Amino acid sequence: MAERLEDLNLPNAPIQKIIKEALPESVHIGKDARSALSRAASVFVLYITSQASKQAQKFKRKTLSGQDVMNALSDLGFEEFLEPLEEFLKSFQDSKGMQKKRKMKNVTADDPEIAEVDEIEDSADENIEDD
Amino acid sequence: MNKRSGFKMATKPVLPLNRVCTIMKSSSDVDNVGKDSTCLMAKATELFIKKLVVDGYKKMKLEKSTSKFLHYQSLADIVQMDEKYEFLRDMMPKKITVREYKKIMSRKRGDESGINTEDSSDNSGSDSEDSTSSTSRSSRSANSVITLDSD
Repeated sequence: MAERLEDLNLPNAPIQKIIKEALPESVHIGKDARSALSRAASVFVLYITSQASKQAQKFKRKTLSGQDVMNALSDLGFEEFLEPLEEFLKSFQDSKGMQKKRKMKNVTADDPEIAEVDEIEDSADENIEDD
Repeated sequence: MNKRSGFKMATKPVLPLNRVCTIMKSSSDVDNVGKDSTCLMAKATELFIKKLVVDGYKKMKLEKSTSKFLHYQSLADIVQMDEKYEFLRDMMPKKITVREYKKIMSRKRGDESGINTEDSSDNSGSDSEDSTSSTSRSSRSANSVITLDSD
């Protein structure tokens, strides 16, 4: 749970970054507009969460799943986000899988160059077969 | 720009997952939040901010404003116009001047004490102004709800 009031706000720096990406370079954003956007983003999270949790409760699940969030988004009129989000989720899971693999490799060999490790393993396999 | 955002998709979300998770859990009817749902929510929020900014910018362009700044007013206009931003209406009311506010307050006071002498004279304008007063009133109540929640 949130201990302090500020914990329910999103940090300014990332929000500023997102806004800058969306606007052309010559246009800046007013201070009042930025703080309003920041609050709006927090409210957006809660709004989607409550819709998603309704759905989870309907199926008597206690944990919000990614699919709940997706369904909530499409229910509330943000269908256009679905496609990029699916793409993102896929790439995110892929990168997570890669990280795990890399960690496993790092345990066996300190050198992160996976190709080399693979070669060594292959040659080791061949040696065994030769024997 | 499209290409750049497509490239962005491959990396991790800009917004901190911890914070997004905290906000999600602050909702009373949520027990547990899955990891990928937090991640999706962070990304969705990012897209949402972008969408709102771009809509506000388009609106600004439509009005042929030459300002180098995107102001609150354009965002508030979009929120009041677009159906899918309905949940933000209480939170982003249109700005009104102090004179307008005083006018609304004096009318309200007049209504409450049962004096309706002025009603017949300016019935035409009362509708629109009533709606503004209701938004400002509801925004105040919404604000108080938010502070109560976070306590």
